[in-house]
Amino acid sequence: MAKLYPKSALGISLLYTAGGLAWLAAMGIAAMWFRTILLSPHVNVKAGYAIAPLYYFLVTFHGQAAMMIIVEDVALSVFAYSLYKSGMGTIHNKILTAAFWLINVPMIIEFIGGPSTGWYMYPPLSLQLGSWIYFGTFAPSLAEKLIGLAYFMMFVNAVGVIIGSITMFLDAYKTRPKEGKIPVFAAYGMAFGGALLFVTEFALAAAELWYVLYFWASVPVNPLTWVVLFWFWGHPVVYYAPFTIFGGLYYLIPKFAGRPLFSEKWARYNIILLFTFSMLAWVHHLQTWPLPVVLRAFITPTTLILAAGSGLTVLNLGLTIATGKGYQWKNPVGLASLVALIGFILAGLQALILPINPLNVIVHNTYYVVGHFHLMIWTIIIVGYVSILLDMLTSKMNGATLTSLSSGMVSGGIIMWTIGAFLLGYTMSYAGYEGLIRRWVAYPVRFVPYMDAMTFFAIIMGASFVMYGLPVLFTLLGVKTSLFWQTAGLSGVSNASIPGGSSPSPTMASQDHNTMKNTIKEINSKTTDASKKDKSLLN
Amino acid sequence: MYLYIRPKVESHRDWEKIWFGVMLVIVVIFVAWSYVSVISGDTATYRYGLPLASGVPKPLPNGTVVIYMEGVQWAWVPMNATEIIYSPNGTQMNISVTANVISYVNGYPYIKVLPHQPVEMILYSNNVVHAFYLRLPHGPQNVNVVPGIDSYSFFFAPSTVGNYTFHCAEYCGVGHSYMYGYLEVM
Repeated sequence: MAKLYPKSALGISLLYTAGGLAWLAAMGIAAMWFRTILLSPHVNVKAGYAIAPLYYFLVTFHGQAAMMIIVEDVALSVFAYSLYKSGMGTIHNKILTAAFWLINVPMIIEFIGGPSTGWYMYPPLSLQLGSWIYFGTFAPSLAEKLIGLAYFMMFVNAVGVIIGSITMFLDAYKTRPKEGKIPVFAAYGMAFGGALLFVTEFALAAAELWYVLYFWASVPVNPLTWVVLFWFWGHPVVYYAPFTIFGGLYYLIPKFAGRPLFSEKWARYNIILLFTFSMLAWVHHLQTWPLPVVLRAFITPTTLILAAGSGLTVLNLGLTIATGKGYQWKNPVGLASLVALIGFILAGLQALILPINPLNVIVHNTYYVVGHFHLMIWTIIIVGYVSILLDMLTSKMNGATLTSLSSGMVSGGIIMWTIGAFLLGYTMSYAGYEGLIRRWVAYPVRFVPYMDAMTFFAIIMGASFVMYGLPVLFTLLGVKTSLFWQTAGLSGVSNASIPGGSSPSPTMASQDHNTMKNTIKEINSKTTDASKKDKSLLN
Repeated sequence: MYLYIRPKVESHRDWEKIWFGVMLVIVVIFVAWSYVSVISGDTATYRYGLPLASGVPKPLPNGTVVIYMEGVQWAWVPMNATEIIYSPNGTQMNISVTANVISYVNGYPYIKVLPHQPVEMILYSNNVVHAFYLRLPHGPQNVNVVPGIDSYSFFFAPSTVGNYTFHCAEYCGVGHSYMYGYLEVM
């Protein structure tokens, strides 16, 4: 009989991973498509108007797939994996599987409608029938019902996220360790892959339901109120994945640094800080809007305090690496964790000017912002997720190690990807500073060299994505795994998950000593070293 | 003589507190600078206008051109221009200068002003959200225009003659990128 739903936290994690990767592939193709469209500045107005609906549909699809599906899939996947690694687990696997389908499927109907609203679908543009390439072509009375249906499907997606995150959070709470604290990885999962989702996703659900009621029950929509409501979800959503991944980095980086986390206490304090302030910063997306000065003055310190909290994570992990026994960056998982951290710093620096009211206006709505958040996504989310995913796949492969072929593909791919990402992110940001506005299908010809450079760097990233994505994809599908994994003597090690996340990753095992005996010896010696260190710290 | 050296392991724990202190100081400096700039009105957008005309100088300086500009899908439509002149006894005169200031080139609005001339744009929209974006050498104007609410953009024209392009910066539909016009400093 076919397996209808996964029966374990690892299975749930892999299910959400599969959803995230499928949508990632689709939104990546959309990105390549509209980047090709952007090679022309469309000086010819007729040509520009002709291509614009397709361009704006692709941009909308790209953004909505990312923000409403992939981010949630990734956050819940990492959350489930954190439970698996912490000796905790999921109980209501049927509900979590149902939530998975609610998150991943209904919005297909919305996409069929051909939205060209932009992912943040501001009113009243998004209420105009003309913003829907396909649904908008029907007679108005039918078109309104169909667009209402599209927004209802988006609402169902948000409900799926709420159900999934609440269920996983409660399961985590029920399976928490009987003694001692919840391990940091799982604690971050519970806070940012669980609670942050179900607390803020209600705002999106409400905003979408408001649109449904507009079309189905003629309820008027107030643009200013709607955007404030939307961003109460729209800002925290950008933290769902990265902050959950932070937990993964807190778990992985100490392993490769050869010492315990520099300060677990501060990692835990940081949960409170990041959780609270991530919900107090949303109005910084509306700094050029006619909102009261007081409101916009309020979000300057809240956003900066949030940034200081993120910086604390960087410091904690940075000091773990700096005071460790030589970081094992040659290991693909170690490399990916390190790159995610460095990327987070470099992308975070770009953001520092954004909450400052007098500076925000210089770059608001320009490619500067696009460069910042894409660099963030490409490093802390994608590369950080790859590091956790490789660890997860090691568990799936019963503790096998990567072969030299797959190690080379992953490490080489990630290095090339990151170089492309930095060049592309910073080119975007500079062009934005020079005055390149977001969402222009036609742009002044002086920006042609920037656009050409961006496309070139994007191609580098595309090629490197294939390089590190192939071993991951083949392993997930169970195809040709012998090419990418070697199992000699390591089977079963990763299944011995130890609460507190102190078990070294099997991918760390040196290939020269690739035997069960040596690996166990290595683990034991590391544990002893760690305990010695803890002892000296306590003294 | 004994030299007391603190054990290394204990001392490096303080880095987080130091970090937190330094960060807090930086946050306070940034926020204070931001607030002072807003209150004193010496920064680009906040200098005059945003939001709801809270910082627009009252009374408007002598020689200000007031332009009512409507954002539609997809064009900027300057409706009329008035120059504010004060007589020696302080009486304000509103002189219509629409014919001198507003013209069109290839269907795009073309607004002519003098170097250093104060300009006030009163921006409004009859349909969707737009944003008025004008990059000047001394700072950009970047103001969202929400239907039903007037937005204000006040600035001094650059000192050098030249042609500057203003754009829509908030996605407003398929013609968004063709929603622009010119500010000519004569």
